Amino acid sequence: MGLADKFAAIRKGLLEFLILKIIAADKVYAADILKRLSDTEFATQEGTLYPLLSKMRRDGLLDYEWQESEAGPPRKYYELTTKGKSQLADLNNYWQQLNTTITQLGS
Amino acid sequence: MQKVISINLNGNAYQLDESGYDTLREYLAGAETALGANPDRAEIMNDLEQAIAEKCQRFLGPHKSVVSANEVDQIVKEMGPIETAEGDKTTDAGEKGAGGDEGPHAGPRPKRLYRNPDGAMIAGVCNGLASYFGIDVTFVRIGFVLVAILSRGAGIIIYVAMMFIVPEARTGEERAAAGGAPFNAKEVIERAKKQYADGQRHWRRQWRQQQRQWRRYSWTSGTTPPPWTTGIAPLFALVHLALFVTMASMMISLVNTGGIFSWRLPEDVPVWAGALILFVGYQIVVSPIRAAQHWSWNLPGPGQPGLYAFWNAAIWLTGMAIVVWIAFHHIPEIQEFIQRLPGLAREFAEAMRDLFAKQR
Repeated sequence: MGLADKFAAIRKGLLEFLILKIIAADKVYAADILKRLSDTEFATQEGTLYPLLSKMRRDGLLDYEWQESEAGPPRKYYELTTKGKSQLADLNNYWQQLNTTITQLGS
Repeated sequence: MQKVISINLNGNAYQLDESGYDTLREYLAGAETALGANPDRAEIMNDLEQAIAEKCQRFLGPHKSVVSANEVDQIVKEMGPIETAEGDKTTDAGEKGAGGDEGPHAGPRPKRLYRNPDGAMIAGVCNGLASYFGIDVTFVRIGFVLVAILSRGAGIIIYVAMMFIVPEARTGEERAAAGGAPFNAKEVIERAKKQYADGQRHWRRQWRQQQRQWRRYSWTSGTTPPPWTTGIAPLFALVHLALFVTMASMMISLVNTGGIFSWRLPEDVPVWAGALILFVGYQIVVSPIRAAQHWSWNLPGPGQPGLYAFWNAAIWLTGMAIVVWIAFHHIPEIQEFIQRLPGLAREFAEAMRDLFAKQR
């Protein structure tokens, strides 16, 4: 069992947090999100991303609008709702807290 | 050598190898099962199809029009298995049944009336109404025909009007909204006013678009033809012809005697309305057969598709030639029928004029 496997559940749990971060930085469509994640430890596939995005939208964290693209049909561009933004701030704080705890425990 | 199968991904046609097609169909079926009772299932499926379409695009070029089986394997691998986000189960349980497609926190998604071209017979008006009210489309169609009869044909005008006024659901979002919250009559009227103001150019454009749609849906059905249609196109043609002859003789009887054989039209239904209803009814009955005929022509496989078309046309032409020949030489009713047609058209025009005059 490799290192990556030990943290599989954690990485999965963090995905929502990361998606919020990506969408907060820029208005993106699904393929952009996948591209941003592709070179990281959090590389994700459509099969995971789409159900997660739809769940986050149902939770009121994000919303999308249709935009025409030069090639092909219109695309969904995602952006954060106010609820999504406050959620992101909370998650950021919590993440800092976790980090502090982890660093302090060993010393 | 591999068979090539045309598929429709979110409104665009792609060609795949047969084994690639099987792989993809399996993947999509698996995805649909995995999503289970997810309230956004239809929308996610649309998104997935869209993503697959974009990936297919990558493999296609000016000299390559078919996505190979290997490439489909790669696409499916890139897409990855469907993982329903955790916590979905709990939210699902909290949501109300099949109709409630909004999460507890999601903004309300307004239900709107759209025309739904998927599985449409004419322009998808009945289909759209059916998903709007959440009833079976057959009832809506029967209802429309009844209204057309009772209103002496005005129902047909309503249909044509709705064809132009009600927008077509193109995106997954719109299709989802087609099944969504209370109907806002004001909105429809506003829309109608606006479109009227936009002038005739808009109507003409709509009409052209509609024609293109019809052509597209009747010729490239996104599904594969059922295997039993192989080689029996001539049979369909015979059934089609038999139905046509029945319709034609009913029509002649109606126009000449004001009734169909021994059954007479009710006093207050004019002959032209009867003729219209008969024609519409014939179209409804014959449309599945026509669809089956198109299927069997499109079928890739032994024999050229053109051969089926040829047989179909040949049987039709021969049948028509025989019928017309017999009619000319033996049936005086045919002559009477043709003589009566101008009068019928005049009555129809007058009825339409009255109808519009009354509304003013």
